[in-house]
Order: sequence, then structure tokens, then C-alpha cells
Amino acid sequence: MAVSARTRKSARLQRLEAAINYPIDWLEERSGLVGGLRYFLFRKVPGDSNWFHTLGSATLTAFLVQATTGVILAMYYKPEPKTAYASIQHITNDVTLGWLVRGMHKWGASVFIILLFFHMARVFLFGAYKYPRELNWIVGVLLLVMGMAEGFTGYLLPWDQTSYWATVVGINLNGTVPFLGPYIAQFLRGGAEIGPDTLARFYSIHMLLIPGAIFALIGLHLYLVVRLGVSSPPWSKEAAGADWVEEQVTTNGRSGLTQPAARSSWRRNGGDAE
Amino acid sequence: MGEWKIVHFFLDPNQGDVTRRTAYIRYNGPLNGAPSFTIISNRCAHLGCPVQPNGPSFPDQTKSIDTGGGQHVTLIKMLPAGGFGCPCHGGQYDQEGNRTAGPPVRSLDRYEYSIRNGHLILGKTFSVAKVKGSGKDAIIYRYRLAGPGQHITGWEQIFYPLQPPQ
Amino acid sequence: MSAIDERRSQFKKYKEDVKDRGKPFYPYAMFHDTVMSLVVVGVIVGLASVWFYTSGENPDTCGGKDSCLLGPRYSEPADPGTTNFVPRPDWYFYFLFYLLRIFKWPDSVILGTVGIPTILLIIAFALPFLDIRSERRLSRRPVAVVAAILVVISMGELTYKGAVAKEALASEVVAAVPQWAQREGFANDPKAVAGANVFAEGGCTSCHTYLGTGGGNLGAPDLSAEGSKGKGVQGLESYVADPSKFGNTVMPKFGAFASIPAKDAQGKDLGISQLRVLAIFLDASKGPK
Repeated sequence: MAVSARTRKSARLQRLEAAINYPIDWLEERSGLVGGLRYFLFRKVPGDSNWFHTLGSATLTAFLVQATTGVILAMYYKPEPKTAYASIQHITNDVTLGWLVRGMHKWGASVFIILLFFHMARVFLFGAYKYPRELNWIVGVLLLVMGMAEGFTGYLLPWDQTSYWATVVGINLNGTVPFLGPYIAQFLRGGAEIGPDTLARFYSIHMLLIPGAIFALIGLHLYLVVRLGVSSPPWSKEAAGADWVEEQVTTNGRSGLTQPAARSSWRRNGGDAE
Repeated sequence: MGEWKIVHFFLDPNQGDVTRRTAYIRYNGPLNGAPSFTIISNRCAHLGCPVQPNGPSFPDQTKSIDTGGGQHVTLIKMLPAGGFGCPCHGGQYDQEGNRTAGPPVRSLDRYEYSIRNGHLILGKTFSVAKVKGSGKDAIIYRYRLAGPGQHITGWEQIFYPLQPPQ
Repeated sequence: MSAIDERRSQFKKYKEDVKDRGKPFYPYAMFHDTVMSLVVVGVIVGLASVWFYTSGENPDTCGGKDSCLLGPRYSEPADPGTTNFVPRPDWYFYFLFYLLRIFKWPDSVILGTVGIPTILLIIAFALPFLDIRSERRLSRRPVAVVAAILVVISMGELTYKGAVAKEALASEVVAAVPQWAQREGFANDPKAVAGANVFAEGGCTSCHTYLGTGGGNLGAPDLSAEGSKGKGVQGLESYVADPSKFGNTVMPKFGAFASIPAKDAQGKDLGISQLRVLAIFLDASKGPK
């Protein structure tokens, strides 16, 4: 019995336990967050999930590195054509560990994009975008677009030759969009010519607008992952929910896992007509 | 006569380097009693990269002039014998700024100009579909300034019917 | 049973299988995730460190004092009035950068800038609705596998080509002239050397390549061994002056060089035109020795 087990503990331990539990219970009673976290942590994932399934959280980690280093950079960066380049030099060469923060932000961007692509490739090869996970694929593609947009807007901020001219070409590229192009280009420049407003605008988009959208989309993405679960590797002999498993099992003479309803589906769906 | 200069100047000296621009200017001799110039913008009509002269420039023949108000103009003698070329995606132009090869959708933009008290004053930029002839006798098919990559003639112009107000 | 019912029952089975045979996220999957995340942070810190410690405060020292394995800390400050800079995007836009070089006709510009990226994006968004079968095994998804391989190869190829794409700035090419003269063996011919300078300054390398320098745009040929084609100085001179007479409408006319007197390295007049020395240089280019 719980009560009798508890009475054996010393009174001091009991008080300590109560002191720890109180705020947790308080939070749980009012928000349900503790139960939510418990559900998140102890939910079941397919037994055959493996290292391939870490690409998503690796991408998330890269994004969090970008968010953190970005906040620190924003404390020193001055988004003005006259001061931007000097402030980047100051961050890189003078500020304590500034080189590390800027270097991590600069290279974290590339790592983030690479991981996005790897993660996307994993999802594609696992067929994990199929029913009922279509929406999560779309959210993922949106995140990729946002990531590329971060790359484009962030590239201007050091205000060096490379960044300035790459942005000129990038804006003019948007300018060739039929009908709307000239207006998109005008919006991105904040005027007829690239100037101080352009830099301020790119800075705002880069550190407020898109990161906000990315955070929201990641939240949705994770919610859908938890709700729908992750796909087993398609080659797994124990793939969860796969009808080919049953096929494998019956031919091997093992028992278990039979689901007559889904049994014949792969035969009908499994042709080459993709 | 017929001499080319690379000209660096500031659109708005108060805003500094961010408004630094470059034009290629040729003196064409007098026309109707006033000096005539060809003033070509160095913004490529493909995607806006900086166009370069196909020919030697002579940095040892450089003139720097302060024209007041913080404006600082630099003139460098050059000879674009092979016209102008864009290093980004390979657009090529002749000496009048007409596209001769590569992806540019029209000729190089030009500057309006006026002469005041013996000074050459650059005005607005405008887009050019093509230039017939050369020098002071050239016929310039002039259009409202459009962004690089935007067609102003041909059927593709229907893609860019409107330009935002400047 | 309709297709959607079938998929629903399949997903129901998935949920049941995971419930029955799955493992809890914590600690199993979370362990993997944590290790991977640490690797990611480690790689980022590593890249940042290599980048910083192999570069110096001045972008000019790259290739000299500093190896700049991962590029300089920053390039020169932005100069909107520059006449000698070639911009480049970050690596993940190289495919687009190279796409723009592929569409080298005015009518097709919009395909490279808007058309192809938009189509790719629409396909990416629509993928779950294009491929609606529930089959996930690669061996039974031949179309998907082939499409994936094609996408990876073409994107990889475009990115690679964008990365190695050469572009030439007159100022940088001029610096390569002594080395050309050495390797092609015309260092003792002042006229050919003067011609090489005209070649370097004249924008020829915007399109042509010469001993690995130059742009390679618009399908222009490599000229490192142009002299071995037997066109002769006279033939080369008239070709360069007006290529359209020889059926080449892509290359600009460089006839104006005929009116500029050529000078040697010491500034002494050579008594012939720049067009002539250019032709002499091309004729002397018999390929690297």
C-alpha cells in the first residue's frame, strides 16, 4: 500500500518531497503542462526507430543555436550602412568570444540548411510524407522556404561587397516575378534604391518576422509529429503498421501481428504505377 | 571627342557610400550648340551586377573634383573598345549599351543630363530598349526606368505592366 | 474497402503496433537525439573555430599569410559604385546562381529567376498529393526513387558547377599574364606579352578561358591553344575585329582596338595597334608547354 510505504520514510524526506511536488502540482493543476511533458517524454515510438530519426531534432538544435547566437549578435550589431561593417569587425575581433558567436551563427546557418535537406531526404525515402502525415510535410517545406529566406536576408547584414552585391542580384531576381515583381523589389529595398532602409528592413525580417514564423511552424511540426507518430524505416521487418510485415511473418511461419483487414492491401496498391 | 570616362559619384552625398554610383560617360562633341554626352549606367540589365568596360582603363589619368555639398566626383580615363561586359552571367553590350550577347533583356540604362554653368549635371535614370546609330546622332528608344531583368519591349513586357511610384 | 478506409485501418494498426511493441521516447530515442544534437553543436563550433583561426583581420591576407580554409572573415566593405566585383551567393543558392548562367538568352531569363524555382517549390508542396499510394518500401517505389536520384544529381551538379564557376576580373586576370607568358613560352616576345595584357584588360576573359582563368560564359571556347589552329595573325586579327563576318554573332566586335597604339611593359610604343598585338598573342598561344 502506498500509505504504509510512505509512513516508513522519515518525516524530513516527506517534507522535502512535498516541497518539490508542490510547485509541480501547482503548475499541473493550472496548466496541465506537466502531464503534457510526461506524455511527450514517455510516449511510445516505433521500436525500430533509429539514428535516421535524429535528423529532425538535429535540425531543431541547429535552429536553436542560430536563435541563441542571433540574440547575442543583435546586442552588438548596428544595422546602419555607415556602422554595420565596423560593428561586424568589432564583434569578430574585439568582443569576448565574439568570433565564436558570429562564427557559429555564420556556419550554423549552413549546417541548418544541410540538416533541413537531410531531414527532408530521410522523410522522402521513408515515405513518411504519406497519409496521414501530408500536412506535416507541407509545414516542413514551408520551414525550408523560411530557412532559405533567413539565409538570403542574413547574407546582407555584414554589409561587405559579397553581401551587398548578392543582395542586389537577389532583389532583382524577385523583381522579375511577373506583374508583382517591381513591387516586391520595391518592398524589399524599402524604396527605389538600396539604402539604409533596405538594411533595417532586412534586419527586421531576418530577426523578427521569419524567426517568429519558424518558431510557430516548428511548434506545429512537433505537435503533428507527436500526434501522428514517426514512421518506422520501410525496410524494417518489424515496421509498425506495415502490412508487408505480416507477409514476411507468415512466410517465415512466425505468428503475432496479423491484421486481416490490411492483409491484401499491398497487393492491390503495390504495382509500379506511382 | 569620343573620349570615355569612368565616373564615380554620390547620388546623395549626405548618405555617404551607400549612394555611390558609377556611370560611363563619353563626350560626343557639340550638338545644336551644346555639348552632347552619352551617359551609361553600370547596372546590368540582366540582374543588376556592375558592368565593366571591355578595354583598358588608365588609373594614372584620374581626376578628382569636389563640386560642393559633399559631392566628390572621380573621373578615370578608359577605352571600352569591346563595349561593356558583365562578369556575373556574361551579358555583353556594345559601346552604345546595346545588348550584343548573353541574357540582358534590354540595353543598358542611361542618365538624363543637363549643362549648368559649364558643369555636367546628371539627372534621372531611364531604361533603353535599344539605340540606333551612335554618338550624338544616336536614336535612343527611351522608356520609363524598369528594374533589371524586366522586359520593356517584346511580348514579355505584358509581365511588367506597372512600375511602383518612385 | 475504399482506399481511404484502407489507409485509415493501416494507420490504426500503426498506432496499435507502436503501443504494443514500441519503446518509450525517453530514454531510448532521446538518447540518440541528444548525442546527435551534441554532434551538431560540436560541428558548428568546429567550423567556427577553423574559419576564425585560419583567417586574419584583413580579407587581403587570404591566400598569403592566412590559408582561409573556410573563407575570409568578411570581404571588403560594400561599395555600390564598384566596377570590379563579382558577387556570389551563399553556397545553398549556388544552384540558382548557375541556373542564371544557363539561361543565357533574354527570353529565357524569367525561367531561371522565377520559373524553375517556382515549379520545384510547387512540386515539393504537392508531393504528398502526387504520390498517394501507401507503399513505403523503396523497392516498390521506382518512380519516387528515380525522381529522387535525378533531383539529387541535378541539384548537386548545379551546386558544384556554381561552386567552381569561374569569373574573371580584369584586375585579377592582368596579374596572371606573366604566368601565361611563362607557361605558353612567349615571355621573350614583347608584342605577345602586350597582346596578353590587352586580352586580360579587354574583357575577353568575361567569356573565354585561358589556362584556367576566365569566365567560360556563353559557350566561348578556351583560347589556351588558339594559335595552333593555323588561323595566322592576319586571320585572327580580322576575326576578332568583326566575328559576325565569320558567322559568330555572339562575340562582340573588337575592331575598335585597331585605333589604339600598343605599348610594351615599359610604356614604349610598339608601333602597331592593340588589335594586332592581340592577334600576335593569340597566334603565340600554342598551348601550355
